Amino acid sequence: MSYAYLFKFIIIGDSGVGKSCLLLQFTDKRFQPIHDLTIGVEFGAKIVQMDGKTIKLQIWDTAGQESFRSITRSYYRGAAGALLVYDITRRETFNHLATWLEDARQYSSPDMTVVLVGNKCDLEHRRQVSKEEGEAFARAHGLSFLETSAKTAFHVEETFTEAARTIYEKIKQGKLDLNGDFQGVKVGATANTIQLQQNNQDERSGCC
Amino acid sequence: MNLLSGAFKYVAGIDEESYSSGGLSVERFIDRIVGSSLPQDRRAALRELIDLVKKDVASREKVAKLGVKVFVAILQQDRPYQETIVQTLELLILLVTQIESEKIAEERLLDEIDALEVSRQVAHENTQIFVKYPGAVVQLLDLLEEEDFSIRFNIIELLTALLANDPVLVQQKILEASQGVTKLMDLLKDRREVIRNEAILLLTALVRNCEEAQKILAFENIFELMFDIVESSIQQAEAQRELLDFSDGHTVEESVKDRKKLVTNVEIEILIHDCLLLLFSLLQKNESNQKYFRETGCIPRLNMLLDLKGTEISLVSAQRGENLQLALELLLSLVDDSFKSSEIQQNKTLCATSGILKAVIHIALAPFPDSMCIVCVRAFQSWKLLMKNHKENRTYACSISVLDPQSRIPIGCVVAAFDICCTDSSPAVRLAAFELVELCVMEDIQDSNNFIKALEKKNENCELDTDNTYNHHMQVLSLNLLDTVIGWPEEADSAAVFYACRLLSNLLHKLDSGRLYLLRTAIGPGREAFLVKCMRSLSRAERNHANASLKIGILILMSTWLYSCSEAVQLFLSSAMHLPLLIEMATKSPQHEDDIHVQGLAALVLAVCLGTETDSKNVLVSVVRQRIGVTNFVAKLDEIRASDLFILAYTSKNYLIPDSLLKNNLGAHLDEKLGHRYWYDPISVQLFNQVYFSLQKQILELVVTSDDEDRKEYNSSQTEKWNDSYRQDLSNSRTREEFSNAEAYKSIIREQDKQIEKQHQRLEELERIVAELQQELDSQSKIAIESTRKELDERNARLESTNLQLKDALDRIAYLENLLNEKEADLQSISRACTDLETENEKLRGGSSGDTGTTTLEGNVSSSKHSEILPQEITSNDNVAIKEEEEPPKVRDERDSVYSLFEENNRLQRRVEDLLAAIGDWESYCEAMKVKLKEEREQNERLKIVARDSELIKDGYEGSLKKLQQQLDQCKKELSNREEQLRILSQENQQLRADSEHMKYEPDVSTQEFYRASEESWSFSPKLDRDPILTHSRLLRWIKNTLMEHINSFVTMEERNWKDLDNLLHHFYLRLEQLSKTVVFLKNKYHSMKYIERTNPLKGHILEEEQEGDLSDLFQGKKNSSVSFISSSKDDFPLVTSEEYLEDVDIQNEYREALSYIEELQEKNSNIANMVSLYMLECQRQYDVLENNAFGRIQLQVDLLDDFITKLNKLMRKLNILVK
Repeated sequence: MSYAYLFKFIIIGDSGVGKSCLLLQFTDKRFQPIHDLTIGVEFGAKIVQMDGKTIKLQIWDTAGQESFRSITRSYYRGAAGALLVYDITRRETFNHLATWLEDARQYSSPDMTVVLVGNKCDLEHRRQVSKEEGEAFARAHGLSFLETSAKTAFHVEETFTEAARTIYEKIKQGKLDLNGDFQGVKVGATANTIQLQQNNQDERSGCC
Repeated sequence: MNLLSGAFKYVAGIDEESYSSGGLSVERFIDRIVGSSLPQDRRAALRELIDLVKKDVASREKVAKLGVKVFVAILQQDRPYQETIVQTLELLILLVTQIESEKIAEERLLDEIDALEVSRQVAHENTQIFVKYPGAVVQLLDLLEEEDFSIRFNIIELLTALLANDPVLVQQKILEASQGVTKLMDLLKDRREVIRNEAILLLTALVRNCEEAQKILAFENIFELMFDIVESSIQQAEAQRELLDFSDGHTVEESVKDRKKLVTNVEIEILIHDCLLLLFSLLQKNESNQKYFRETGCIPRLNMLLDLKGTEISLVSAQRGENLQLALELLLSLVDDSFKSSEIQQNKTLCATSGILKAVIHIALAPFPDSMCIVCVRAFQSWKLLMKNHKENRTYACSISVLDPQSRIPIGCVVAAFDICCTDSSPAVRLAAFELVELCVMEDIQDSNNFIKALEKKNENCELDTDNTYNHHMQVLSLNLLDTVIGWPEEADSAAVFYACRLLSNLLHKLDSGRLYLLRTAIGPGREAFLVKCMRSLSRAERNHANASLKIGILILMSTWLYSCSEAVQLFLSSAMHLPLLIEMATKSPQHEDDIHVQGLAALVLAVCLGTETDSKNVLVSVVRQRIGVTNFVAKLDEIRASDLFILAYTSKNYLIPDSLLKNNLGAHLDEKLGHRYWYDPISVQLFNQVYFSLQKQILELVVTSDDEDRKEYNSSQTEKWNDSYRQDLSNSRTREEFSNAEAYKSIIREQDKQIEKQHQRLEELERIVAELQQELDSQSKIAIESTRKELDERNARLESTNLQLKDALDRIAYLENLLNEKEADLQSISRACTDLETENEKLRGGSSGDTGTTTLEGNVSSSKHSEILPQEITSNDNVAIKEEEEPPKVRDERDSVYSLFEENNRLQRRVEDLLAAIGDWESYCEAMKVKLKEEREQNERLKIVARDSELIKDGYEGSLKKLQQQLDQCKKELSNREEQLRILSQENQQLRADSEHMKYEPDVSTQEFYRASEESWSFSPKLDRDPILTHSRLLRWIKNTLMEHINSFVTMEERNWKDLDNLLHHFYLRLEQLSKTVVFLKNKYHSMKYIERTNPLKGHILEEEQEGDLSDLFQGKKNSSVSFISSSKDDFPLVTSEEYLEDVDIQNEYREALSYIEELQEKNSNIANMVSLYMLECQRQYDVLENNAFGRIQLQVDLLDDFITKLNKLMRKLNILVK
């Protein structure tokens, strides 16, 4: 159960875009076509490996409904990353992205990593939002972008690892202040030792 | 600088009603607050208002009503002036706090209880006024940004008070405020301990029954934070203790030091208690948080709360005990099997690996004083749950050795637990320990079966297994168990014997082979059989008037042991002492209410012996009959079956839990050691019933059959042995009496049996009928539709066939008309030929008059006079010849020429004759033709008449067609009526499920189609004139189609309705199940809280109130969720769910409403089904009428056509004849 880092993620986006299904596909590797409406927030966890380090991802799946918006807002602050999900077969979910992003920027720490996710790309025949539009939005707001299918598991793993990698890179580059107020990342028991070893190695290599 | 002008306007706008003097002054103060331009003035006004409220309790309501706007405005705008803010907060706290009862008593306000009630109500109302005021809660939360101590402290106080008054509303408001919970959470990071500790209490109130807030706190790492606080305070306490110990003993007196130690300890224990309470609130009933709790590795951290190492048990404070109890309850909620099993198993494993299990065992076996026995009970319960269905944990736990408190030798902890079960002073602890030991033993016999092994070792007189500690401990336990059963009174008290007997009996019940092993077991220095020992123990108990539970325990054990084990019965009956003892116990006149149970169970043991085939059965039968009497014997058994204790054990499974004994502990009990009278458990009840029912018949049979035998036996014995005949007669007559009694009894039972049988049959029949009805109901509509569809098909087929026939008839008519035309054409050509012939004849006639002259005259001569014509010609030729002979000069030549002429003349004459004959023929033919012509003309005339007739008929047709069209119009009208009805139906459907738009849409579409169809029918109606018959069929087909469409739409609607209903019902059912589960769980929780109250009345009181709050809140929450669920299922579109919070209704009402709602739905549905069927019938009838009409008309036409055809045929035949 020991880990080098623990990242807290949240999944946000309109109701019915497949947030819970993405989480289920990622943590349990299964797809549930009829998912109950998420009430409040659900929680899931998974461990991924990155550069030989164990990184634990805690993912909080929020309710997309407007009525739960104020509850969802409570989760922004403590999150290291957010998956902003829309449904490529429903344009309105794409249109609402700006509102979501605004909310996230307002209530989250400025260091929060946001990945834009266009879900349900298995339903190509019902597509209403083109991939280019998604890419353009992501570019305009400085987000990573991926199209996924929680049904076929296409790009699901990649989405989470992409988010984790971005955060990991930020940590490596020292962009995140892990000792300060940023709560989305926790340094585990093994992280320090690895860092120390790395430092030692660095020193050694420097000597040589 | 009037910052409060907005509020001023508001206050100024209030209607100035007649206020009391207090009210007026309130208004004046508020006016002053609003009007004052300097913050100092405002502050002064506030101070006066606070004084007023403190003095005049009754003004609180008014102040809140009038002032809420102003207060919120102050909070918003006077932020730079801390003092003003603090005063406002203080005032608000005053307004929403209930007045303490002492104050009421002091001021002698009204009736004390009434005043309390009023004050509570006012506090509640003021809370609502303040919280519902827009932005008020948000403003408070924003003010938390201020670092100032008194501001933060007062806000916490205020929010806690608000939460106490109306938790649901305040929770909702805090959740609605952006990051409200997070802001409160941040208070825990305040360095000032007072604020932090108050914040813990505030959060505990906030998360109570509020899953969302619980999750947010979990997300914000509250678990780790709580453990950090606990850890640091424990360390702090230790550091202080060390410091105190270290400090010089001479300068500081021992007592002062101790007191200081105690104070810090108590403070820290209270803090830990608060932390635990918050953790408990966060984890209880929240699966997601429990999972997160484990994920974040918090379970091992519980260990420090449960660790008793280095603690003198006697020095454990009450607060520490309470903390231990809370920690154990927290653990219990994490390993409670009634929830998700896989998660729970992981939790259990984790508990074992992190040392929690060991700590729990230490607590369970620690000698806590009686006042803290609940800690032991909880520890035993946790221990039990940690091992339940978890073999590794069980093996691990049972291998642990502890030091025996008396002998200081290491013994197995299970053995120690059994010791506690046998010796502890608290009945609750005994029961908890018993449950634990029972679980170990019962689960052990399923895999390792150390019980049998121990018996084997004992019989072979060899050492127990020592290589495996687990096996060793379990085997020691088994032997201790046997010792305890027979240990009364020296080694075990009655309760110990009772528990040992129950355990052994349950063990034998599960383990059939155990009976024989146990039978072979000899025990003690004299190596006597265990069974004999048991009976001796029983006999001693009977002689010494021992406690009933002791006897009952042994008797239940005996009955289980002997049950269906003939060897055991044999051994049992082989001793001369056993049977008389039982008879004596069964027949002794009861002196105590418990004695009926002893008697009944003694009878049960006899009954078990009777039920087993042995050699001495006859002896047994006669003994029972003579010494007890059959009626009496059965009555003894019946008395037990009728007793409350038996019924309780029969009906409810978990009627006896240690908590109930904690509650009962206060009341004096008959058996202080056992603490309860629940002697029966489901297993013994099951056994009892089996024996009872199998013997019920057998005993009667035995009585009937053995009567004669007995008499014989008795006769023989009379001669041989018995001298006292009188006594014999008496007993015999008694037997007879009993026999007749038994007969009557038997007949009654038979009758009752029959009746029961009948009732069963009736019930089955009824159930079957119900099922059938249900099926019928389901299939009826479908069948009806099917049948109408079939009928329609048939009709259609028939219609088509008639149509074909008609077409054939038409073809035939057309063919006949053609034929007629041809014939007419023939006639004309014939007549033309006739006239041609006539003209030729004329011509010929003219020619012949020029040649012969006379021939024309003879034209009318018939052919029959042909022979006469020839001589005349000859004579005329003669005349010519005479003329020729009158030329003298050339007589000869002339004669020759005359000859030739004569010949020529003859030839000519012959030709003329031929011609004449031909003419005659032609003339006759002409005559005939003329006649024919005339006839033909007549015929033509007649045909014309017929044509006119047919024209008339055609007119008739057209008339009838018009009628048909009219009827069609009527039909359309009626159809539009139907359409109206349909619309009504659809409206009802709408009412039924106002939610489903598409459901509504469906009938609309069908109506539109209906409209279109009717319009189409209008458009093609003009065609009717042109093509009568085909149009009929088309019309019918159209009617059929529309009917079909309607039927189909109804069928689909019907099906969807049923499906929706089914789904709804299913959902309701699930929801109800969930609700009932939570209700049960809550009840348990509520009970447990009651016990806390007993052990610590003050704290318990608060807890109980909280729990009550819990209960109602949960009901509320569940109700809301079910309401939202209903609305969501209504809406079919889940987006709109659970936005509304409804008023207080009891959950049961909700349930009943839901049921009635379902019933309404069903009713409505059945109404719709009825209406549909009525409508179908109506349509069917309409259709039949129309079809009949159409069919009749078609038939008429066909008949007329047939007539016409036959007429034509006749005419044709005549014509043909004539032509021929």
